[in-house]
Amino acid sequence: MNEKTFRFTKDHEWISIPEGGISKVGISNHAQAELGDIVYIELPEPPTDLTKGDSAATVESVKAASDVYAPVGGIIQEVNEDLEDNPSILNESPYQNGWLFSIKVEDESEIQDLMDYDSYQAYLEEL
Amino acid sequence: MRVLISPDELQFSGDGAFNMALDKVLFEANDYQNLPILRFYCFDNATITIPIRYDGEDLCPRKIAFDDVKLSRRISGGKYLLHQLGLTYALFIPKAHPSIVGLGLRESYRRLSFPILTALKNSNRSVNFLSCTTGIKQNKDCAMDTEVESMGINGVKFVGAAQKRGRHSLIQHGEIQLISSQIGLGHYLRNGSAKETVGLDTKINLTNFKSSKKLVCQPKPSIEGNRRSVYYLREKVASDILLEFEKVFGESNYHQLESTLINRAVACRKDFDIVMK
Repeated sequence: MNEKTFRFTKDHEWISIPEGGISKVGISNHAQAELGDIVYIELPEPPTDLTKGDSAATVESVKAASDVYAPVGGIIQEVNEDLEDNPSILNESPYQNGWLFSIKVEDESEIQDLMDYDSYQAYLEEL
Repeated sequence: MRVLISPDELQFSGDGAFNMALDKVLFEANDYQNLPILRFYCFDNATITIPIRYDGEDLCPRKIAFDDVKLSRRISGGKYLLHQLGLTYALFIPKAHPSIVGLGLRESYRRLSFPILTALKNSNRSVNFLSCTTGIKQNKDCAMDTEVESMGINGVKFVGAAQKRGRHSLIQHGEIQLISSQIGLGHYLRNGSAKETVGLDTKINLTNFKSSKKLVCQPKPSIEGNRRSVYYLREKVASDILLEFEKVFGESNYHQLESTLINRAVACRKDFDIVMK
């Protein structure tokens, strides 16, 4: 996966371009750096049906539980079980091995509405 | 800043599951508020709150049943926490508030905890921030684990906090143990042992203390000396904390908790009440 092809939300989630209607979702490098050492990740149960903006997962660091929101609507297909035993993967590899879950995207036009990589970088500079 | 006052007749006012449910309801209801919101509460019964990371399997059901300790889930992170003879605060604040905007997670904890430290120093000059021991991951007792916001005396922790972060706002709720106890959380862990805990100070002179407003919804002071002291100590510490938060967030406006929010918390209380089998 190449993060330069991803789409991003203002809440710092990324979503990959769908393959066969299925995308992977994670949090950006900026988000993991802001959180610091991640100690716990609560993932959704497949096949949870999510609407865009729903709370989909929880990431904990420094005793703070932070919600991760669904960037698009769809049905959870799979979760990254490696994170349950080793949540620090998310710190080390937010765009590759640290993906959170895959989702069957209901409406692919919702992905196109999100920021592309360059727009997201510009957004980060404004923060 | 808004200060939420609970009605005196509030059912479940000192109930752990209700208060954890109410924190969740207030957190969700206030995600789009511009003003910081503060409320104080306490636990009538000794209660262990269980953070999102744990499921309660590390706790010893026999000891918990024997001492009639209650269990409640909480929405924030951190470790198991035993609430007993303490004061709890919940601060709801927009992430874009000038006092914390642009700060990292640890810095925001520290910034929001400064007013509490200053307030506690009014009661005991020795209270200070503790150095971090977060690297000790295997410890499941909040009192034994220190982060940037942890405070104590002589290196022993009695003040801690945890956060839940939403899209626009966060809640930081924290516990200040007021009275030392011979039994800490370790007693209730399967592989733990009874270790003494410390409190703020039991020898504070409260004779002349008069709170302008009742800030903590708690049972009326009984004639029994120790309980009466705890009652006034809670009000004094809450008043001191409020004064310090006002210096950061501006003057307080008092609001009675809305009945719709209370009813919502009562309705979801059962989701937070953990019964061990």
